[in-house]
Amino acid sequence: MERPAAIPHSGAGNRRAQGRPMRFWLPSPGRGAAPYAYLGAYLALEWGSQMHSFDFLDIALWNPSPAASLVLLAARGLGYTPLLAVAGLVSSLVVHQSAQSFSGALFSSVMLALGYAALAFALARAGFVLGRGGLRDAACLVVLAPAGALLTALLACGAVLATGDLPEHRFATALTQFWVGDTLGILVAMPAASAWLALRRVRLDMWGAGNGRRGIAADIAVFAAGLGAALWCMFGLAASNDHQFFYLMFLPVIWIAIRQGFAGAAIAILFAQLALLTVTQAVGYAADAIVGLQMLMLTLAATGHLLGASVSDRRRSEAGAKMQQAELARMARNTTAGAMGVALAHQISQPLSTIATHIHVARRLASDGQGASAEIAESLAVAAEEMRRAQHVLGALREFISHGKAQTAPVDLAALVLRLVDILRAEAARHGVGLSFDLAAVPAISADALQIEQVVLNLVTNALEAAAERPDRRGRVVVRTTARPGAARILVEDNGGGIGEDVAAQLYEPFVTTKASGMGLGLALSRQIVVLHGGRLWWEAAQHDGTRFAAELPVARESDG
Amino acid sequence: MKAAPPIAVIDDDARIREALTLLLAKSGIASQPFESAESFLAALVPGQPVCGLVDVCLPCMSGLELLKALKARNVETALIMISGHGNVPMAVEAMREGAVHFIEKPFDPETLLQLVDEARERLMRREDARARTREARALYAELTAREKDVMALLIEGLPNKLVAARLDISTRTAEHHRAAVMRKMKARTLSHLFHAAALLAANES
Repeated sequence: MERPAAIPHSGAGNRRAQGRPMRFWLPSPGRGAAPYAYLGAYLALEWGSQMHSFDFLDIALWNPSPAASLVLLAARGLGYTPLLAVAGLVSSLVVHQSAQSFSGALFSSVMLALGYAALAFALARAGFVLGRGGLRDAACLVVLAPAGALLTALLACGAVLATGDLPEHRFATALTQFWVGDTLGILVAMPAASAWLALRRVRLDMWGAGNGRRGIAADIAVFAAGLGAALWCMFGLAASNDHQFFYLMFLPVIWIAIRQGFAGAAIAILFAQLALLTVTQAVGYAADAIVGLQMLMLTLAATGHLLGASVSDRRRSEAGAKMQQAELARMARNTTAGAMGVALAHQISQPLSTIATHIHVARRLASDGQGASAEIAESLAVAAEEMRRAQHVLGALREFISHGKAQTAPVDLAALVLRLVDILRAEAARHGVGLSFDLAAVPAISADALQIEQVVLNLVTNALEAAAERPDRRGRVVVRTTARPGAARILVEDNGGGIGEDVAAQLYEPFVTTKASGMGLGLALSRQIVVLHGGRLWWEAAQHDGTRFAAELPVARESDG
Repeated sequence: MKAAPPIAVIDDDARIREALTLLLAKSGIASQPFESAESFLAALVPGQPVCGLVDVCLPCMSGLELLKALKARNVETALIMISGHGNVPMAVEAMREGAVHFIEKPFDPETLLQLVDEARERLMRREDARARTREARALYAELTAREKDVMALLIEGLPNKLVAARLDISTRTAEHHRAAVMRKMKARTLSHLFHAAALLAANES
């Protein structure tokens, strides 16, 4: 089973109300902007990569523009295929200003578009998800990109051959260079785009993998040094055979892949490619001579992506296992609470029965006038005794709850929320509500992490349920953490229509609920937990008919650590 | 009608037991406390019907198991089950096993007394019917074979002439037998005889 991707599934039209619209990866949020963004990106890439272009064909030895096409199709669906032909045509006429006839350019552009549409289709069918960066995605790309590029090369080169723009004896060379350039372009640029998406969206994978910003800076330094050394060995040291030392390039890429997973590997490979191109251009290489280098670069890219993706997969499964453990602990806790409730009901109902019976007897004796006052007094004494018994049970329970938070430790509220991101996202998706996080660094609080998790889960779930009530399906929930003097605060804001006066009056009453299913214990318990931690929980009206629940918890004193 | 048997109060909690016996005593109902199902079964008099209040959650043998045990011994019962934390399946099972009521703690003493009255009445009605059945059976046993034949035909509603024809005896002899049947079964009218026959039939099934 694949974990639900933290990144939106690509596939046709990602317009399910998942609250993760395209705006994370395109400059403008509007749907109408995507085609322009794509065209701009495509033309810029074409223009930037034409340094080694081959003859008058739209062929470059490093051709990242198909990656832009594939990203568009993967994110928006195959319906955008005609736009690919338009982009190809504009590029051919404007950027390259090729000597090709217009009909020839049109024909080859259409063939280009069809070839990449086929590749995008194959990727989607094989289970490739843009921005996920798992082993499956890397494998899909490494296997399918060369095949798709070959098909496209055959179609496009066949087209120019048919229109007479390509002499027959150049066909084989053109085909090879087209294929190498596009394959390399896709293998280098597409994972980089994927990584960018992933990093924009979740700070977990790369930045939160336990090695902090300082670790990243160190990794970047190691990578840059390794890359520089490898390039120097290749071009500065042994001028006789440049390919001899290429394997040195593997070392920094493998380092980054192991340290930072797929996102790091993708970005590293992109940089390696750019550096290689810059150096080859600087030392004045003929385009033909670079093909061999590019084949090596292909191998490097494939290796780096597969390795990085494996590392990411392993980290994710580890994180998943941790989360499951936390979930189990929560469930165990809930079960204990349930069993405790049943036991408690029994403990209380015994003395209540006795009390009721004795009071009944006493009242009867008193009203009949037949009983001696000693008998009445005795019954009442028993009732009082039983009352004390019930009080004792409740007292013991109170004791248990207040001392039950024995596992108090410094807790980072923002990190705690981050741990719950996947669970909350899944909940949000289920309710069709947009969920976003704005987590500022907060000082550590002294708390039982599990109990505070319960509070966060409860507040967010309530907010999601409220936001899901909106008839226009535009429900949104924002979770924030803010630092206050001597305290950390978590705010959960929804746009679900606010809280009516009648509900507000008994908001924290146990067993009062507006939900069809639910015990009405959540908010009461949450407040109890927060208060027992020395904090407070309140709510206020927010913008757009919304409600904002806030929990403030005092920061840990030095001695708590 | 015999005097009502004492109400058995079966609960492992001494305070509940004492409170219930006191409540019943002040309402003029004799009761007998038991701390477990086992001690109750040990004190059981064979053939005597039992009426009582039983805690479902008893140590060792539970209230439900006690119901089953009494059913297996063919004891006439009218038991009210009391549960600390009852649920619907538990209540359904108790009723299926022959409990007359199922109530939850904390209970209302007034309701409890009403239910006890109801249970006792039900038990006594059933006991009454059983006594009359026993009597009818004893009387029937005194009839001769021929008189039993005549009675069967009378129950079918046949007049003397047809009874005589069916049994191939004279009308006079038939009249004679009929008088004997009525006398021995202590039936003043035919409808009394029908009633006795109904009791016998119910007992056979």
